[in-house]
Amino acid sequence: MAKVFVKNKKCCRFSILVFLLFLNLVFSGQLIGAESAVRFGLTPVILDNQRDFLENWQKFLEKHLERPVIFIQRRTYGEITEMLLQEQLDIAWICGRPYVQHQQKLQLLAVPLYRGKPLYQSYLIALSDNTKIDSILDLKGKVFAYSDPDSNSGHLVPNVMLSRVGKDPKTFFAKTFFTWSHRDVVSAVASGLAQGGAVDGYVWETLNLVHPELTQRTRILNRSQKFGFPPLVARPSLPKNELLLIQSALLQMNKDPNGIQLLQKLNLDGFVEGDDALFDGIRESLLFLTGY
Amino acid sequence: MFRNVSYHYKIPLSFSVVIILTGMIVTTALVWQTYENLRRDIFRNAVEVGAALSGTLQLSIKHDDVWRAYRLLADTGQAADRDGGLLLVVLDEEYKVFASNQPRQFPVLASLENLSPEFAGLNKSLLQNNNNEARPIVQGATLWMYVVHPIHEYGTRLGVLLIGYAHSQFLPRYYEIVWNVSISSLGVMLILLPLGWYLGKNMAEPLVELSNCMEMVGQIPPDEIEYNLKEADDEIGLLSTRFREMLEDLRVKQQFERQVLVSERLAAIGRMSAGVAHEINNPLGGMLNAINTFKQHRHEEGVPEKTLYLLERGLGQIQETVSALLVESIPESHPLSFQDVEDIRTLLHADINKKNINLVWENNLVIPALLPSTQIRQILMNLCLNALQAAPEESTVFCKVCAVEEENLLIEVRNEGGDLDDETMELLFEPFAHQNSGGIGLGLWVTYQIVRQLGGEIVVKNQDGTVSFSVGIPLRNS
Repeated sequence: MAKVFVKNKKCCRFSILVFLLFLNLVFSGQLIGAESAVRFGLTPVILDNQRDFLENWQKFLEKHLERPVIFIQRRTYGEITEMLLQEQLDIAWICGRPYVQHQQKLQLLAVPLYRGKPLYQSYLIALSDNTKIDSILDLKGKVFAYSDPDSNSGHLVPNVMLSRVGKDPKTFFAKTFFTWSHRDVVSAVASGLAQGGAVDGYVWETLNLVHPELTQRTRILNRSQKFGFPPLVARPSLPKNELLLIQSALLQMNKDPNGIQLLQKLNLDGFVEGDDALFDGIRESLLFLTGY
Repeated sequence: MFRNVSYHYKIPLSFSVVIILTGMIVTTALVWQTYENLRRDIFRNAVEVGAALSGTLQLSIKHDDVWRAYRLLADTGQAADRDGGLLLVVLDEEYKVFASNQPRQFPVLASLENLSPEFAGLNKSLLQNNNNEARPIVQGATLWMYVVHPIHEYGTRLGVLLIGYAHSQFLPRYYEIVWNVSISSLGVMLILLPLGWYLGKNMAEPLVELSNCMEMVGQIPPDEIEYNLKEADDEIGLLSTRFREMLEDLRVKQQFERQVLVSERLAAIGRMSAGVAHEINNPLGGMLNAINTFKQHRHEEGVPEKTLYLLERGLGQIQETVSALLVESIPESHPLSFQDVEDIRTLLHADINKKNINLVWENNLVIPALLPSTQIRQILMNLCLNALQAAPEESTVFCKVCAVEEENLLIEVRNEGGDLDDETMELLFEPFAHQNSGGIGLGLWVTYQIVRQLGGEIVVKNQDGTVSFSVGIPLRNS
């Protein structure tokens, strides 16, 4: 009994110590200082797994904003979107579909320029040596890989394509699964795990430059119509001046040698302010598929 | 075949065979042990891998997250073996592929029956069996071993994980071990074989030496046999000791035999001298008596004539004895002809009739033989007279003369005079050795001398009451 008492006493002392330390941190401005950083959410709409690139981009943004920048990555689009709506992030690079779904709450920050235009396509891919498959209809009863349920190119586009020809996307494939990244859709198809997949065309092309051995094992069956490129958006309550500062930093990237180098890494030409009308294609698709 | 091989090679060869056999048995045992260990290790490894994966796989199946399961399997497979030797397949409750690290061979949703031949043969009940324990199943054409690892959540089975090890992953390791063990065994054998050969040769050496020495016995005199036999208390050592003693005995015996021969020769000379002295002394006694008588009665009528007669008779007897001993002085004569042999038969008539003997006479001499007739006639006469004398009344005496292959003249005389005792046989050809009523005992001695002079030989056989003399004399070429 005596021993237990001694233990509890020790525990008590430790808790007090932790609490005092916390108070100290709060008043010294450490935690407040962290709040002043730009919290930048990233989704797999880009090849977000290049640590060197992210470090350099972080330095670039910090230099232009004169504020710390923190990149925050999550597995799904949904998580990032939710964090943004909960104001846990300042800005995020998300897909056009969640932007369209939450456009009333989100502020459009910038749209990337890909091949000179703020547009991209969805690619329907299959295994390169499977010559029996020529269109999405040949994938009936097969295994299909989506990227993310909230992705336009990796989920919405193929489903709309099927619905337009009167097929129910829920039953058309024998099995579907999400890889939660466009890059992994390519891997899933290249390995033969899925016979077909839907992928962001920009990611496929970029991957084709970096890892041609992976993309060469896949074959593009169909290139979709062009949609607005996945945009960078800001949380609902982000002050306008902050938004403009960040926007200007992004728009100036293609005028700065470091920025150009970073854009080359991203396989992008730059950023533009962007027009909400760019995403009308996605709106139409959503309207067609879900009725809202 | 092997029985006739010298121990010089047999023992080292046996050693070598034993060494090689031992090497082979040890190698086989080691290889087998290695195989078993390897199998056990791989199974243990599979169980560990299965246990590590099953937690995540359980969640993947529950959430229908194919991609997560695939990534886990692919990463594990790649980490374990870059050549794709490790196969990982997750089957769902319906035994359809949920995910695998080789999706091309084992596509998602493929059912167990449509998988590889090995999996097709795998009975579902086999998978259901043995509920929550991993177990190994050996083995197939492409997969060397696979382990069935159940995936369950709180005792509810969600699926199974099949972990397959390909031959390509197992065999190189196995062959490497077999190769190493074989090389080691070969190395040990290479050391042991010369050693075994050397020891075997050393062991066989005294035996071979002894055998060589024994082979020389009888071929060369015991005195000249050189041996280098080592003394020891083992069997070969004892044999060597006995052999040395035997050789010594042999040497003493031969020395003794030589002494006996010398003394026998001296005895023979003695007997002969006594015989000659006796034969000469008798007539000399008679003659001296006659001379004494003549001295006392020289004037009496008829005494000188009678004395002269007695002297003449005595001297005649002495001359007869001496000339019989001088065999070599017999002069050369004409070649032996058929008629010469027949003459002897005629001369024997009186003796044959006296004892009523049945004489079987075979004279096969067709052309004259190139041999002196006088000597051959004397040989034949002597042998026949001897035979007739020894033969009992009304018995058969056999006499045969022939030329064998135009190289030898063969004379054979047989009688049924009964067995001769050993002493008689020994002294048969000595002069004066066995005087009988009919002669002075020089007949066979003379015969023997003539046969030797003609380069022939004489053999006596004494068997079942029959005594036979065989004389062979080489025919002269010119």
